[in-house]
Amino acid sequence: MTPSELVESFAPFVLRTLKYHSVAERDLDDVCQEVFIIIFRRLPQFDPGRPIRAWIYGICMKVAAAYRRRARHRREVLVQEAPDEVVSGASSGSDVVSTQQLVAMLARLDEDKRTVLILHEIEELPMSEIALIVDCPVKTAYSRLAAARKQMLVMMSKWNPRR
Amino acid sequence: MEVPSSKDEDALDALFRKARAETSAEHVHRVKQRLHALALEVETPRGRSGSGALVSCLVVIGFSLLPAPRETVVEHAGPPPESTSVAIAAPSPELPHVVGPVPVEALASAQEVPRVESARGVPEERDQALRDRRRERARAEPARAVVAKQAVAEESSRMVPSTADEPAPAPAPVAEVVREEGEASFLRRAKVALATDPAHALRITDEHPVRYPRGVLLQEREIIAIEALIRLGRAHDARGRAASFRSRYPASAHHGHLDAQIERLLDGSTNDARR
Repeated sequence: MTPSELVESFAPFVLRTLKYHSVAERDLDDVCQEVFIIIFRRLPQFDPGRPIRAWIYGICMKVAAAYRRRARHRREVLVQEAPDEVVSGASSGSDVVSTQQLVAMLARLDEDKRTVLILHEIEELPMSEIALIVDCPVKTAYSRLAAARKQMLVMMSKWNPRR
Repeated sequence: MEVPSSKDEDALDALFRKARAETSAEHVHRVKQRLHALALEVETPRGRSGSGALVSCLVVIGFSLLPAPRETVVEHAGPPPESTSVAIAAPSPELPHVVGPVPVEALASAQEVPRVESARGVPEERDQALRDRRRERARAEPARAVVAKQAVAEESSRMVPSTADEPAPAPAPVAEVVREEGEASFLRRAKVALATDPAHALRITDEHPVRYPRGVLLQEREIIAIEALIRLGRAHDARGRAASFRSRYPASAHHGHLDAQIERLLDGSTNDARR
């Protein structure tokens, strides 16, 4: 795989992963660039026996965590925290708003659950691969997924009162 | 507490579907361009030119390690490695680990350091000599210098780190050539475009980090971008970027101007869906 192909095939994955791990839209390009610089730099140390996606995902997580730490130092608001600012995504029909809502909701999950949920629902990876990425038994991954979905649904019902 | 219903479940699935369908071709393109500008050889145009290309790549990658005064980056004296480009899928064991492991944070903060020379791991004298040589050549052949500048201006995406007549120490010219091209005049164009075509101005500012990965007029760029966003009616984006600007440059002299802009132009703006 050439560097170009590597970027081509994994940039969307990296961008989505960063975005749903609370990297602000305006900083996505910068942070994604950081990720790829690290990828290229560490490539010689990559163990080809491991799945490359898991490896890249690990790098994304570290960079995103460092980014969030920096942002906290700068006291930046990365996602809209207050639910009343987020209009009901399902009914408004606006892509931007629904994406924001999703990002805000995901930000409220703890990292273990968020990771499994994103990899399963958005990246649509098989559970066995997810378990490999997050380094836990498949069963645990399933229970994290269930807990994450439950929490998300509670948030949805709070934000979209229909009853 | 509200009890989740199947409607919520559908809505949640819809959110996920949307997230999956999201295309980021533009983002991907921009990321590629940026990596190109950092001479990562994303397109591998010079990939077959041998170890020089590899070393130059690694040197440029090394630039991003600026904050840590590590000398592990460039001094790669051993025999040239077999590999031609950045060596992707099959990392060969012979490939020397030119760059040692560095904490992510070190790399993460790298972009904020404007000076390039200090981190090259190249002795200062050699650096100086290089600069002198370049200056002399520029003086002797102004016409060629102009041509080179134009070439760079026209082909922002093909920013390979060496000019045709100087194949040897490839990485140094990256910063130099770019700097000679005039970051200020580049941004001045954006500023001029603000009044007539803010979308174009915004595109120019988007291109700025690609053309000047080590640029120093970051505050000016941000101010122009924010004003362009305001003029385009993207009040929410403008506010977000302005907030980011304030926290990043708390002591900036631009704050007064920025606040006035936001006050004046956002007043009564109805374009923002989230307001």
